[in-house]
Formats: sequence, C-alpha cells, structure tokens
Amino acid sequence: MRTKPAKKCGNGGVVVWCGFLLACLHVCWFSAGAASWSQSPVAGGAPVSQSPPGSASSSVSTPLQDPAPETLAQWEGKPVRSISFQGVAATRLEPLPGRLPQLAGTPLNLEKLRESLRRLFATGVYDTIQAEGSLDPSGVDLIFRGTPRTFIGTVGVEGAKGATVNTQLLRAGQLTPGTRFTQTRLAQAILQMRRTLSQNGFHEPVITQTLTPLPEEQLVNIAFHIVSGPQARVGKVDISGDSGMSADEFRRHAHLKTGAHVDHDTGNRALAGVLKHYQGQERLEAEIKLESEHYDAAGKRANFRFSSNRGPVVKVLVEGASIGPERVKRIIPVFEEGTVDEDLLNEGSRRLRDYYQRLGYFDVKVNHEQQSEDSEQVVIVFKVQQGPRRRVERVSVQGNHYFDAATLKELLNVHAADTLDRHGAYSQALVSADVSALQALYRNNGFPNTKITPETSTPETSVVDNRAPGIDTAPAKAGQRQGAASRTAPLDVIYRIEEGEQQRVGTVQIEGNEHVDPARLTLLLNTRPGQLLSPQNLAGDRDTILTDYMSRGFDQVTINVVQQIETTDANKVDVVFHIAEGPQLFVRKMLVTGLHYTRPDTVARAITLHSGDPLNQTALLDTQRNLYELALFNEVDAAVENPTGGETYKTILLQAAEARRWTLTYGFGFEAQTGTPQNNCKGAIASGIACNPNGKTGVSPRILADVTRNSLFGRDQSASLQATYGLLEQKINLLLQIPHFEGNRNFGFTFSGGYANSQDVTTYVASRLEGGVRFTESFNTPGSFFSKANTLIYQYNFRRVKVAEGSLQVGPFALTQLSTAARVAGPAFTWIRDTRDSALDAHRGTYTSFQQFLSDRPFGAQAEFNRLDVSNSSFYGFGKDRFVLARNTRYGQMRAFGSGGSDLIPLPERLYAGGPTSLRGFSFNAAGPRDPETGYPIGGAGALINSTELRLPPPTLPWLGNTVSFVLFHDMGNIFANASDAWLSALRVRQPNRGTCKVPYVPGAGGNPSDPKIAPPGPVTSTGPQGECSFNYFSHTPGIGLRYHTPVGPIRLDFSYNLNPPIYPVTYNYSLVNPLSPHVGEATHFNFFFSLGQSF
Amino acid sequence: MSNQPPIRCIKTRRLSPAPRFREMVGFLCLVFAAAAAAQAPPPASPVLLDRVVAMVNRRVILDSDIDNEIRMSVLDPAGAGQGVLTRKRALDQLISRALIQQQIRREDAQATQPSPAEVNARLTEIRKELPACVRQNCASDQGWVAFLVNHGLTPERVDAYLRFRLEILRFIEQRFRQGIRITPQEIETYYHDTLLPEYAPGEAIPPLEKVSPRLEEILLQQKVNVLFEDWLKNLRRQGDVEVLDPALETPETAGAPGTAGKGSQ
Repeated sequence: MRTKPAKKCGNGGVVVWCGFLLACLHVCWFSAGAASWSQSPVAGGAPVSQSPPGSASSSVSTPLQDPAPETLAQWEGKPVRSISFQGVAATRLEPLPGRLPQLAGTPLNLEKLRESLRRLFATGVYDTIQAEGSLDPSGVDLIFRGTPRTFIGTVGVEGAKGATVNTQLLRAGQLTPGTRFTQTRLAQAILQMRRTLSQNGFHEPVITQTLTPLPEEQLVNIAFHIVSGPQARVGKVDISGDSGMSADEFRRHAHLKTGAHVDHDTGNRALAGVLKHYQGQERLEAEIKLESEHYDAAGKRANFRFSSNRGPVVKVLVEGASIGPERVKRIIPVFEEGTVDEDLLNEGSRRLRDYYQRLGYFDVKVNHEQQSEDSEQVVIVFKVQQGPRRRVERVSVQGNHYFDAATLKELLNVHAADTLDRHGAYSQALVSADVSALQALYRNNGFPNTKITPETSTPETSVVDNRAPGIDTAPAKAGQRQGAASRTAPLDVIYRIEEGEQQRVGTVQIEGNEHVDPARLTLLLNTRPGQLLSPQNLAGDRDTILTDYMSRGFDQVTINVVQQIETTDANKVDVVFHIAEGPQLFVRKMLVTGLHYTRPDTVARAITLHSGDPLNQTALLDTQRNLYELALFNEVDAAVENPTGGETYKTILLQAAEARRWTLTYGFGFEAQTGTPQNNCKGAIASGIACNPNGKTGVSPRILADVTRNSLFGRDQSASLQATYGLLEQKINLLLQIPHFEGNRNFGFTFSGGYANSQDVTTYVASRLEGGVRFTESFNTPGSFFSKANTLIYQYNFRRVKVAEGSLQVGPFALTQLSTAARVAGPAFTWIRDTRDSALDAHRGTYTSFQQFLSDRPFGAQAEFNRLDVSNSSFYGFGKDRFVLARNTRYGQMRAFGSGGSDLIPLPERLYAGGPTSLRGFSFNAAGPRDPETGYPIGGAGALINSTELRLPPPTLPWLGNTVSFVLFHDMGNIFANASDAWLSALRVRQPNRGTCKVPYVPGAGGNPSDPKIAPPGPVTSTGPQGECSFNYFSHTPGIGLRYHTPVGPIRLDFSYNLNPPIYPVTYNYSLVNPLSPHVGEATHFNFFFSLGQSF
Repeated sequence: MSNQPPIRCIKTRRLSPAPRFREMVGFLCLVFAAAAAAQAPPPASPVLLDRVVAMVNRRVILDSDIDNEIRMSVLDPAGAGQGVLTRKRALDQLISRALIQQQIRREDAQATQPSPAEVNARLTEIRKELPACVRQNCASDQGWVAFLVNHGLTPERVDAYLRFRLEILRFIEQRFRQGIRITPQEIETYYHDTLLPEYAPGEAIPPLEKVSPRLEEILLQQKVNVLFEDWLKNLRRQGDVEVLDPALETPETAGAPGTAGKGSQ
C-alpha cells in the first residue's frame, strides 16, 4: 500500500483515493508478474514457447504502506541498520552496494537515498526499482527492491527455405545478443522477419519462437522456427507512364516471366534490367520505380506495378579535342551510373581534364553545358580547350634546409618526363597532393608553420623537344624556338618552401591517470622532452595510451592532448596528456554457447579472458581469433551482456556456430608445358608416337578429391583421405592432423601415410608407399627464442620406393639396379624463416628453408644417404612497390654411404631441377646428368640454381584492365653428379668437353652391343657410373612471363630460351623397334610453362 | 525485520546436571523465548520511500522529482492559469527539461549559463510580482521564508530551479531566435489580417509604423515557438524515453519510440 501527501495528488479526498487506487493497481500488476517470471517452474531453464519473460515482472510481493509526509520527514537522520537488495542479488551488483551514497550504519539521508536509487538503476540490470523502508525505534531497515532486466542471449533462426534466408532473417530481426529483451522488440523482430520473408516471396509464413530463460544470468535465449509456406510466383505486371515499350517487352527486359518464383532480387533485377535497356538506348534520364507489389493469396501470385518514363535520349559530345566514343563512355560517369545530374557532369569534366593532363595537356580546361533540343533528346557537350601539349621538364624544390631535395622529391607525384613517360606527370590534383605531403612531412618534424608554394614556369616560347629529359635547359637559340610550340612545350614545376621555425617538445606530462602507474605510461610514449614536435608522434602516443587503458577494461577512456607554447621559449611546446579514465570493467563470466560436438576443454584453451580479468577488448578479439583458428566454427560472435549499463562486472557471451564435421572437396587442375613426361612409351610406339628424353609438349590434367572429418573426438583435430588422379600422378593419402598438439598453440602434429604412383621425370614411373610423422614448432608466443617468422619441423619418414622396370629409360647396365625397390627411412629436420609480406605475391621480405634428411639402416633404411637442401628467396619492392626484384637461390647436396648396393641413391630420391618452379631453361626435372646410354635425365647429387625476376607493374590493357602484368627473368644453374662440382661450374657457361658428348657410348668389347652390361667409362658417383659426357656447367636462360592476377594468386605463363642447352649421346632409343640407334641428342632452347602462382 | 535481542540457552557440561534438571531448564528457556516473542512489537511494515518512474536517455527521474516539480510549480507564473499541476504533467515537464538539458550539455553551451546576478534579479522579480508570493508578502525576507516553508521549498532548490530556467531560455534564444528574420511583408500581413480585426469600429487604430517593432517581436516569438516545439518533438522521437509507471504515461510519452517495453539498447 502506498499513501502520498494529499497535496501531491490533489486537494480533495477523491484525488487521494485515486492516487491510492493507482498505487494499488500498480503493486498488484507487479505481483502478478513476479509469479509468472521468478517463481515459474519453467524459469529454471526449460524452454517456454511464447512466454513473455521480459514483460511485467517484479519482485514486489507485499503491499506497501505509504508513510505520512511528516513521518517520512521524521525518518531523516534515523540510523540505517541494514540495507538489503531484492530482485537482483547483491553479488551481481558488486562492488556497488559498498559504494552507495546511503550506507548501513549511517543516518538516513533522503538525498543520498535518491542518489543511491539512481546509481542502482544506472547499472542497467533493473527494469524497475524502488526503495522501501521499515522503521522501528532503533532505526531504519532499507530494502532496494527491483525487477531484474532480461537480456538477449543466443538468437537462432532455422527452417526457412532458401540458402541464405535464415541469415537474412537473423539480421532483419536486429535482436543483438547482450542487449535488452522486451516483448516489443520481439514483436518488432517478428514483423521485420515477415517483411524479409515477403521480399523473398514467402507471404504466408508461420513464425514461432521458443524462449529459454536463464534467470541466473538474466538472459533469455531465442530460437525462431520458420515455416516459409508457398513461394509466390510472378503474376500481373502493370506499367504506368511513358515506358516506350509493350507490356511483353517490359516483362522481358525486367526478367518477370509469368509463373517464375519471386525472390528478394526480383524487384531489383526488374528495375536493373529495364534501366539497362534504356541505357542501351542512351536514355540516361530514364526513371523507373516499383510502385507496389501486391500478393494475391488465392493464386499465390505477386502482382507488380511499375511506373516507367523512358525520358529523352542523352547524347554526350566532346568538342575541341579528339577522343573515341568508347573512351568517352569509360570516362564520363553518366554512362556507368545510368543517370544524369550536375555532380556526375562535374565529375566527368574532372576526369576529362585528368585524362588530357596525362597526355601532356597540362593547361587543359574542360567545361560542360546541357542543351535540350526537344523532349526526345538532350545533348551534353563537354568543351575542351587543350592548350599546348607540354612535358614536365624539371621538378625541383627550393628553400629547403632541413631535408635534402632527394628526400623531398621522393614524396612528389609530379615528376619530369623520362624515357618511359614522354610527358611526365602534372595536374592540379597532383600538385595539391604534393603540397599536402610536403607539409605533413615538415609538420611531423617540428615545423608547424611551413609554407609550400607551387610555381610553374611557362616560357613564352618553347623548344623542339629532342633533348633527353632531366637535363637542365640551356638558353635555347631564338631560331630553334620558332615553330616548335605545337609539339611539346617544356614546363618547370618548382615547390618553394618556407620552413619557418622548428619547434621542440618542452615538457611531457600525463594527468588524470588514477589506476595506471605514470612511469609505465611514460615508457609507452615516443614523445620525449627535447624531441622534435611531431603531431604524428603525439597521435601515436595518444593511441598507445588509449590501447593500454582499453586493455585494462577502461572502455570509456578519453585522452586529450594539449600543446602549450612555453612563455620563455616560443620554440618549445609543453605537452600534456589529459586522461579521463572512466569506469573500469571486469569480466564476471564467459558464457560459451553453441557447442554440440566440441568439447568444452578444447574451447577453454582458446579463451584468453577469464572471470575477474579486466574486460580487455583486444583479449576478446584474440579469443575470437583463437576460436576461429581451431577451424571448428563457422562463426564466433562475442557480445557483452548489458553493454550500456553501469555494471562493473560484465558477462561475455560467446556464441559459436559449429562447422560441418564432414567436408568433401574436389577439384580439377592441369599444367601445360614443354617437356611433359611421357607415360607408357611402349604403347606410344605402337601408336606411332616417339618417346624422347625431352618429353613432349602437352597438358597434364588431374582431378583431386578430399574427404575430411573435422572436430575428431570433439577436439581441434581432423582426419582426411586425399586422392589425386592424373596422367602423371595417382595418389591416395591418409592424413591425421592435430594443429595444436596437447592444446599447445606452438606445436602441431601430423601423421600421414599413403601410396603414390608418379612420373615426375621422363625417365621413369616411380611408386611410393610411405608413412611419416611430423611435429611442427612455431613461435607465436611473445618472448619466444625465435621470432614468429620461424618454423621448425621435425620428421620421421619411411617409404618404399620402386621404379617400374617397364618404364625405366636407362641403359641395360643400370636397369636392374635402378629398378630394384629400396626402403628409405630416417629423420628429417626443416627450418623455415618467412618474412614475406604475402605468401602468394610477395613484394618484400625473405623466405629461407633449410632441409636435412638422413636415410640410414638404424632407422630401417636400405638406401643410405644424406640430403641437404637449402633455398633462399628475397623480394625487394621499389618504385612505390610497383616493381619487385625477386631472387631465389637453391643449393642441394646428397651423399651416399654404406656398401653393397645401399650406396646408390634411388632415382626418385635424387636432386632434380627444371620446370616452371626451378630452372625454366629445361623441361620438367630434365636438368643435369643424363643416362650415358639413353640420354634421359637421371638426376644428380648436387644442385646450384639461381633465379632472378623483375616483376613489372600491370599496364592498363584493353579488356583486361590492370589484371595482367609481365615478368622478366633469368635462371641459371644446373644439377650435378657430385655436389663438389656445383661451385666449380658456376663460372662455366659452355658444356665442357662437348666433343665427348658427341660420341655415343656403345657398350661391350669393341663396341659390341651384345654385351651391354659393362659399366660406362665415366666416374662412379653416388648416383652410379656416369658417361664421359659432362654436365658440369651453368645453363643460362632469360625469359619473359605473363601473370594474370586472381584472388587466389597469379596464373602464370612463362616463355624461356635456354642460351646453352646441353647435348648428350644416345645409344638406345627404346621407342624404336631396334633400340640401338646411336646419335647425339640436345635439350631444347625454347620452353614454356603454364601454371598457378609465382615461380617462387 | 525483527529487532528482538537474541535468546540463548547456555548449557555447561562441566556441571553435569541430572537429566530431569536439564529438561526443566530447556522447558524454561522455551517458555521464556515464547514470552519474549509475544511481548515484542510486531515487525514494522515496509513503506515505499521512493522509486524510479521514468528514464530519459539513461537519466533517471524519480517519484520524488515529481513531488519537487509540483512544489516548484508555485514559482511558475505561466502555470497558474492551467490549474493544479498533475503528476502526469509534472513528469512530462521533467522529461522535456531533461531532454533540453542533455542537449545543452551535448552542445557544450557554456554561454547559456546565467550569472548569479541574473538569477538574483529573477528571484527579486518573482518575489515582487508572483501573485501567490505577493499575498504572503514575499518581498520581505520574513514573508519569503514563510512562503518557502509553506510550500516545502528551500532557498537552494529555488536558486537551482531559477538558474536552470534562465539557462533554458537563453539556450532557446541562442539556438532559435538568431536565425529568424521577419520581413516587412509579414509584419504588414499580420497588421492587416490579425491586429486590425481586433479593433472595434471607430476605435483609434495605431499606425503600422508605430506598432511595427512590437508586431515584429510577436511574430518572432511565434516562429521561435514553432521551431522549439518541433525541435522538442524531434528530441522525444529520437531520444530514449521510457515511462516505467503506466499510470504516468501521457500521449507524448506513450507514442515515443523508446517508451516502455520498446527496445532501448
């Protein structure tokens, strides 16, 4: 019960009664709410369909007495014995109860009580709150009683037809997790969802929602279930206005086929289609509008009504200069936008001006006018006054003392003509940008009052311009000047600089920091006393302090930087960082939802924020990133409960949407190149096609499939079965991946095993049965011994390699030995250091890899050898990163040991080079030693290769725009039978002892081929006996490449010309009926390769 | 909540009384506790002291604020003709005032703050001219103190109230009045269409030139009023106004987008 002083409500008893009645009704209303919300048996978490948790609800359960006013006045000053909180637990309000203006044990003060109420309500956790009290002789007991506010927890939508409709509905509902829940918002959300469904053609949807309250967290989870109902089809189409076309034509252009399904694009597609038709007729002022879309429930049809006025034909003419109509359409934006207005015409004038200025008409003037000849035609005329064509002769800066001219010129966009740019670059826009850049540089170095004045010299007469650009103009003879102005007139651009006085920092102070040690903040600052005064530094320091505070939970912190010139020294400026910290927020709880298959402990490792931590937004983003890195979730949304409320401790809601556990990916790929290895030479012979050591020009297609089980055992691990089938390779592989081994972000584990049958070189087809384990160590933790750029890989590999005897193109002597199966097994260590800015298309940085593999008997191997392969690439961008100079150097060496056949390195394990990603002077893996009897490449034990590329900026080409760029490259190096031969061969550009390569080796005594199993006469190496023909020299190959840039990296086409390809003797050609066919073979000069990605 | 002293029955094992004696002591304790409970006064029923009735862009309006507004209404000469200020109307005024105040703070309108001299001048004016005050001889200090006591006011509250009213008036002046221009055409139209019909036939009509400044002021006021009303409506529409007690809702507050039950975050 509540009583009020009579004068509050009126002067008569009736009014008092009215106040009483209202109060009574008010209390009863709240009491009913309390029963349905806080005492309901379903409030413990069970779903409640259509329940209204945010509606009238209260903890007020007893009728209250109103004290007489004189009594209430008497309460003031009485001691407050106790304060209790009902409706919202005191623990949720912490630490506010102990900081309220009105505290237990102090006299009751009505002003403090009012302020306490305000502060409690400002926490945002109450829908309503009131202060109650009971008085007895020893004091007052205060109760703050309120209705807890409900916030939105998770929101889900399911059941709607259409691929993206559920997502559209989720967005349309605008029920943001963490924000306040009310029945009105719910109703609005449903209304918006209905509208969205209507736009998608579903006009009779049934939307039901299930609300699951979580009273302890003051949250309610909302799940919408949609039954879309029938999808409307296109019905009648009415058109008003002067459309200039029949109804059927309109339907055709609007893509409104009778009976077609209506979706959310139907309306826009119709408007765009008709507009495009009008644009094609140059009716750029056409107006078309969808007036209404009416749904006929009986016929399930959507009837459309459009207004369409085609407007006049718009002709755009350019007078005063020659320009093609296609270029006009590209430059003048009215064509692109499909409409005509003054802004677009002004933009057209600007673009035309820039276009002519690029051509050297720096003084060009462009204006436009619109002429309406009649209602059917409007003519827009751009009038161009080109002026003389000029070239920027010289660009200079004057008056600079603090910076040298070279430093300043680096910043300029205006530049002089050169061999690549006949006119140079000059325009008012470029000059303005240059002035801004110069001013910014000076300002950031303590010159706040620098004045930059651009000047252009316009000689009265000009010179015939045959001189090399950049050479200072000597006074030209008068006779030379005559009649030359019509060609190119020189233009000098001078930036005159008045630097002004340089200012330095006087003192640096930080004020207002109550919670953070000033010494710590000072350490964060770049600005120091005595330093040059730099606005850039000050802004950076402000941001640094801001970030530091935000990481401590001060999300409302503001920092104001004040600069004050010292009275004693005008060139010194005192800097003060004024900090208004605002309240510090902490995490009460991290609530993760949406985990159906994922183990909570898997997720827990990724969460970097915990209860009691300051609410660090960066840590929250880290948590989201960590969760995404697990690759278990499609979406992870983070929300703060009660974001605008004044609670000190906040609950964080992490809503995760798990990814599909099974994924199937498949694809198709191919490579086209010269020197593609040939399969099945015997079959080829039968069909009349000859096999040869250089392979053939052709395409090697392949199909790929991958089945992956993600979230294996609810953890961030996966198992995959990968298969590749192509002409040159057939492979199946089982892969178990644990990217964060035992939850450690720096360790990954992989087990792989499978079988492969491949032809990487023309010489043979190899099969490989293999298995291995791999630990990958990265260094993501701050303070690690190595930087993040480094990766270490520890492996154990086991494989059985075998070369198919039928495919092997070597002489009879080595045939049996090289086709014998061999086990290769042992540990491997790899170190990778990657500082590139982009893995797909690097512009700067380096990439280094160091690989060491040991195959030895203790590890189960039959072939005993050691392999070292080191590669280093560097990327250097220049010319504002438009050009890139890229280099890759590879050195590899192998050495066999052991005895009794184990000292021969199996063919598939050897070092090879040649092809699109290594030495482009050779076909695929065709560089280096060749079999002395067949001339087929057999790999080597040493490799030294260097590739250098100049990657050019993309020119603007017709049709292709800026998507294509060119590369000039030079590859050099070779594969060697012995690693020790590599360095000695670096300066040798001709194949040594070429004469010996011209004499085919015929085995057997006296050249009798009937006894072929005699070793060739050359040295015996780790790769077996060699012939007398040597390959110890560097092959040099220049070439040109084309790159078509796509989002997944460039598509590459390289053409190369090997300046010094090797020759080699051939005794046997197995593709002939009579294999003994001595002759001299030669690798090809010309090669091309088509593939994906940069070469390195 | 009960305020009874705690009753404790102390037993000591050392004495080891006979079982019968222990039972008797226990019984006496119970009787004593029951008697004490019977003699204690019943627990006092809680009474409502104050409550939150509305929220305006996160600013809270309390029930006691409405009480204060009603008390202060005696100082408002404009309100005298509108009868007793009801709680609904008082809340409506408080909401409008809160919106304006927030706007003043947002625009950092320092220049609108009145000086103490201006506040005192206004106070003096009220004490001399407010009918209710004149009746109680407010011009004298004694009468003024009596007036304040009678209406439950304090000098500090009155000072703050007048200060804020002056601040609002100045803000309106700065924001709306400066941009308005009254053309001679408008003055002439008003003179002919509005002023002249007010005069009875034969009555002496003042010439336009003489009344022109006054008419300009009237037209200016009218335009300011229109602009101010529109502006205030916009503030209500765009702001987050929530009235928690349905009994205090007015059509204005009920129609606002942020009113009770509607999403405010």
